[in-house]
Amino acid sequence: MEPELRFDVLDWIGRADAGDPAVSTLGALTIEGGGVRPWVLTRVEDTLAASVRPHIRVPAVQLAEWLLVHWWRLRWESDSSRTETSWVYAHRMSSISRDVPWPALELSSDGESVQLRMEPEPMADVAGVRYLERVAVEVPARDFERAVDRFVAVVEQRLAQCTPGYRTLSELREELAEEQRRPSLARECRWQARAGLAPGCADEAWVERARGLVDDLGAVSGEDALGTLSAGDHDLGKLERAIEAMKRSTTSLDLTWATLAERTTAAELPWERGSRLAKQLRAREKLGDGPLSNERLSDLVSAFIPLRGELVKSALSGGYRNGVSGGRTRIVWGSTRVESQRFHIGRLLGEAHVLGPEEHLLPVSDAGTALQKLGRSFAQELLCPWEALDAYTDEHGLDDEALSDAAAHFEVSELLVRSTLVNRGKLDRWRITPRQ
Amino acid sequence: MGERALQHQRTTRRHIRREPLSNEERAFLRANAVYEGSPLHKRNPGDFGLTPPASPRPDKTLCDEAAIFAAEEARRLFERGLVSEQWTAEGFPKQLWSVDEDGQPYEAMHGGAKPDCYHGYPVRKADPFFDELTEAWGRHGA
Repeated sequence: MEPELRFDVLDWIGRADAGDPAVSTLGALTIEGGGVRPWVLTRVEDTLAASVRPHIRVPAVQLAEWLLVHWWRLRWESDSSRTETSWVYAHRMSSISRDVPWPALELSSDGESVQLRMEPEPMADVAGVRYLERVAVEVPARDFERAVDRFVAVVEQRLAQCTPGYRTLSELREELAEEQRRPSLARECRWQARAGLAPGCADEAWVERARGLVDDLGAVSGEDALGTLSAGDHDLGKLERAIEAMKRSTTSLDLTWATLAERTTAAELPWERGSRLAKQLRAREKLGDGPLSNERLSDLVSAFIPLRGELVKSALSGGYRNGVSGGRTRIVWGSTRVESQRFHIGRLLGEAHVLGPEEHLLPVSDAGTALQKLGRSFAQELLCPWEALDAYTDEHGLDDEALSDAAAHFEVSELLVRSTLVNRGKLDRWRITPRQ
Repeated sequence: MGERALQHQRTTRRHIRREPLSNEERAFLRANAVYEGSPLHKRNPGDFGLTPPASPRPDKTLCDEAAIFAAEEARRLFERGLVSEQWTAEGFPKQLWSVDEDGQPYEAMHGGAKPDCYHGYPVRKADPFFDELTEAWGRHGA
């Protein structure tokens, strides 16, 4: 099977005997992928030659080193902190060098796949090339890892032939390989990357506290919770306080009946899985095709909706369960709005279908992790099934009033209605927020 | 853990010194620093008195695209510069930066193809350092 991502050097064009790694690894580089719908990210207009070519002429060693230096963050950190300077330097390829026009490609990860995002350039800026492609693709994380390994090996071989005294790339590769090889070290690197830190940046005390959290919360949900931190604010105390609030909560749901679901295919994306699981739940519980009432949802989770209790405003929200309280999940939430509470409960229910009982936390956050994507799509399909929303908007239209009516009909927020329609391609992206 | 990677980041990441060039430092640079344009960063190297590079030429940012057509103007820009935290053993800042009247930032780099010389090039908007530079330039009221 063809890999979903490739960094290929078509030709070496720098002098082999230059004695400078940037010159000897100057190559015609393509970054491309896609099986059925191929894309070539490096397709550029060459304004000097007045032509279009599929490759860029760049020092491959710079990219190879950047990929190794930021490997953990590229592989494990989501895009939820993408406005922060530290995030941009670790995730945007155009940060590699001042004088080489690397593409403004952003790579981030939800943990299961790596997202690649780039916009075309309207003009050549101050370079002799202009990037022409719009790319918004997800590649399996394994394909990303293989693509990096393969590319680094090619560059390393070139350096061994042309500049054998240059050891930086090999040293970076050896360090990464050691971190990947040792499970305990790999875990610590992953925790830091999830929290927006380059491995080695956090002190021993931070790592120990992170270990304590993950041990308490569960390997999967604990790491997911770390994803709510960012390089700008990686205070674990915020997470600890949020967990304490959940443990103290007097409101709980019964989610013990949620059937742990098997994954059907490795290629299934988190949002596809969440949607599928919600459809299965609707069929199993005979919930019909239309709106889900508060009464029926209350019956499902054995709790009265609307929820009553103290609101907890925190980047990390959700529920905690550890087998006591009859297996019920103690929850916190941050809104008095019934639609928000219904969506929150839907997300918790979705996560309960994929997290085993050893995972004590059901995290709800804005992080762009696979678990959060799954929870959001599960809740959407449970409360506002796509086929029903599609039919409703076919009948009532897509104007602002119809969208507001659809939200009231399904008892969900208007934003959920709009974002679902945008994600399904039925509504233009500029309409994701209502006009004032 | 990550020591080699962190060291690499420390050496490649640019850091703008909070204090601009002092009068003494400017005098030292005027007396000792040499600016020499790189033909790789010129669409029309001849305008700068430089020999065009052999084809295929590497992709680079271009001074011509930023309307810097004369070496004299490039030199002027580099003399007004913000300065890097890193300096060479010989007392030269590793990088100097300036922003022109149109808001376009430039970097002048010490060393490279010719030792003891600076060569300059414009910084692309897609480069996150673009925003750092323009912000620092505004802060210094340069």
